[in-house]
Amino acid sequence: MTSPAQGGARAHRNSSLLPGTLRVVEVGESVSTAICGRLLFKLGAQVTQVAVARGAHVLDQSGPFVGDDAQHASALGLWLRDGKTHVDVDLDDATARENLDDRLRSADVILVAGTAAEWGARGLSADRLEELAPTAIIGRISPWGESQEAAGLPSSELALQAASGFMRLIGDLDHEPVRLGGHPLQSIAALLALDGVMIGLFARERTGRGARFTTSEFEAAAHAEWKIATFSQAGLRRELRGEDNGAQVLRCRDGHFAAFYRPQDWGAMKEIIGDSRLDDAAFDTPRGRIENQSRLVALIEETTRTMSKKDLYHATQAHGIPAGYVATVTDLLESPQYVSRGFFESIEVPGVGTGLLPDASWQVFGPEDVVA
Amino acid sequence: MSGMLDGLRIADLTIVTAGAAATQVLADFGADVIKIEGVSRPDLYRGGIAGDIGDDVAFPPFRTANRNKRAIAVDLKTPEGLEVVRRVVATSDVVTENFRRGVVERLGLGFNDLIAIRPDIVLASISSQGLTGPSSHFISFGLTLDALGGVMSYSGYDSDSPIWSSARINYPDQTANSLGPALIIAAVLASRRDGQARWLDLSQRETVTMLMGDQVLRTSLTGENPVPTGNSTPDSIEWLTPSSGDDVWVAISLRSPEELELVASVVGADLAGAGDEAARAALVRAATERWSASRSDTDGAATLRAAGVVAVPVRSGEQLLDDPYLRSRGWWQEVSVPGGGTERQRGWAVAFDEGGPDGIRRNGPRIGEDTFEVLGELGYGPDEIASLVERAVVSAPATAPQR
Repeated sequence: MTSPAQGGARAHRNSSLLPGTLRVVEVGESVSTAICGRLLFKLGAQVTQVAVARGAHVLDQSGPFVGDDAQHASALGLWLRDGKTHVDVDLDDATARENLDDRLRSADVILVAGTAAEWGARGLSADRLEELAPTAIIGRISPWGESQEAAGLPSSELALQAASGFMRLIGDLDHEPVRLGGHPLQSIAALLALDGVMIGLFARERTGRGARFTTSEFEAAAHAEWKIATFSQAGLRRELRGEDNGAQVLRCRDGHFAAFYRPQDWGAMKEIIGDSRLDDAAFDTPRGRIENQSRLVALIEETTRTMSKKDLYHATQAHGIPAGYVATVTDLLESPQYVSRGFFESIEVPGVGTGLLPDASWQVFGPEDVVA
Repeated sequence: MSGMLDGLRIADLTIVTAGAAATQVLADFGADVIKIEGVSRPDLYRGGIAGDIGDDVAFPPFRTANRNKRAIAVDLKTPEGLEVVRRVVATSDVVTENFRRGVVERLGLGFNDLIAIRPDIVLASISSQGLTGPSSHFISFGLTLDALGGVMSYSGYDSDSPIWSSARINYPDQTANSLGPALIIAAVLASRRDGQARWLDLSQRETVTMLMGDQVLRTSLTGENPVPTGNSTPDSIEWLTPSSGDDVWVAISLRSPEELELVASVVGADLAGAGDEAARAALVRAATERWSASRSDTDGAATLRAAGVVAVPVRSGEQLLDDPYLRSRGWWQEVSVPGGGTERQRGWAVAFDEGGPDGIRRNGPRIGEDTFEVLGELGYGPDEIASLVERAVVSAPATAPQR
């Protein structure tokens, strides 16, 4: 269980919006379902995660791992189980199944990881869940949907980024497409499932009735990569992999800097870099800067390689340029912005030590709060 | 019409995609979303970010992010224009905005101003770095937040080439507009329970970081930072293999080292005496590249899947338009477009068995398309509206029907 980090200096954060009596049950394990459950926990709900014997245990098996051979644990599992009640259930055991049924009967929200066919074979079909919990919001999140050729495949972040068109846009044309790190599309599936839960709860306030919804990580991926299809249908040219309207990743002495600036920011950028060679007419227009990007980056990096990425960040922001440094996780943990907002909380990992987890990314203020 | 969010009304000041695509989800499910734009400064997304597409509803992504909404155009810098918006607020559950910090206060629509209008109002502020802290006044675009949020630090080909999600994807905006709808609904339900106003502070940077809790925990315990490692990770065996054609690829994702043997059996790799796991993986990968280079991506992926391996072609976004599964789900939504014809827009956030939307009720609105209708509902008479139009306090397209 987590607790405030940074000693007693952690700012009070309130992310709660749901009644503390709201009960959520996660049935089965997937990254997307578990993230959705974690967000409901952060909103104030009681969350129970039910892992079934002989089912997938992705939260134990997926890296990154912490600890040594004696205390080896998945950081993914530690994060996504934090704050939840965890229950292992053998569905072949009559007593265990009855206990699970009781838990489901009292649930307001049930999140199911996997396909209807998979859970129907285990005696937990959609109809059975609705019979047990007729006023619950029941959401099913499968990796690839219920009926397509890939329906039986397990979840894979890389495969989702490939199948959805997402990674086709990332990287540069001199290399293969490259994935975004972490679990971005499994995360978006979790966020959209959370939308489904809240839409269902809103409707239940008025009707008193439960609701059932389905989604898949693949559909969520399509939801996230929604713009290219619109460009294609309109006959508009879309940017190719590596084309970013002249945005640049610059090397600094201590890392990298994401130089995203607008046409009107060019004068300020030149002032910050302070190299008269940037006055070359070839760089005067956005088009010119894109056409001469390699030469431009080489020139700018002669200066930025001597600068700290955070100094460059503050210099650009002081001029109103929407640029930022490439933050490592260590940078995040030390970020004055995050520290001032009390964004991290402590977690004790048995046999390993005290670690930090990110809190909810939202806060709730009331009329009496001073927001400054 | 849907009905699941019937009775939810939003005074929507959001622009571009972090905010506007969030309220789109609410509008899809039946919320009455009133998009409020300046008479002379509409949502800049109408013309595309570079402003080179045109205006009004010419930019296709704008049409998607603003479908099912009504739009009014108001000069917020005039007292009468502000009064129009105050009347919208008085009949709304929520005000949504994603301006720079301090803008809503300068407009006279800060949290305390709104409470004075409606004591149980929810103000939902979606911002780059949150409402508080030393960086709260800094500005950003999505690409900046890929960097500042941390995901960029372990995305890319190698440690010297961190890569962002690209301007077209803009991952930080997609996370905000996917999380925002749920938080807004939760805040409204909370305010309806106790009658108290709430100010929801959603930080886009924190959202990016919140979704990488495993990496945060690992680094806080070990001091080791994740770095870009291309398409594999230190804890997985994954890679892209080339297929026949230009820039055509198949993604392969193995769940365990044992699955290397499945791939080896398909591609004809001999693992005898291959050494440790890394050597075996390298051998299989090289053999797979030779095997796949002369095959189409669909054939190669299907053959590997038949052997029990996760393998899919690396597709482009436009190929999703023909995806059999999305079509079978009725996921794409077909709507008319200005100038004739139709387009398909993305489907619903989730699919409800009952009660979900049947289709898109309204196309993305023109600037001020519903000004007359909304002002009429707010109690303005025809003469008052005509006077406001004449003095450019509000505006509407010349073809808009007058009440």
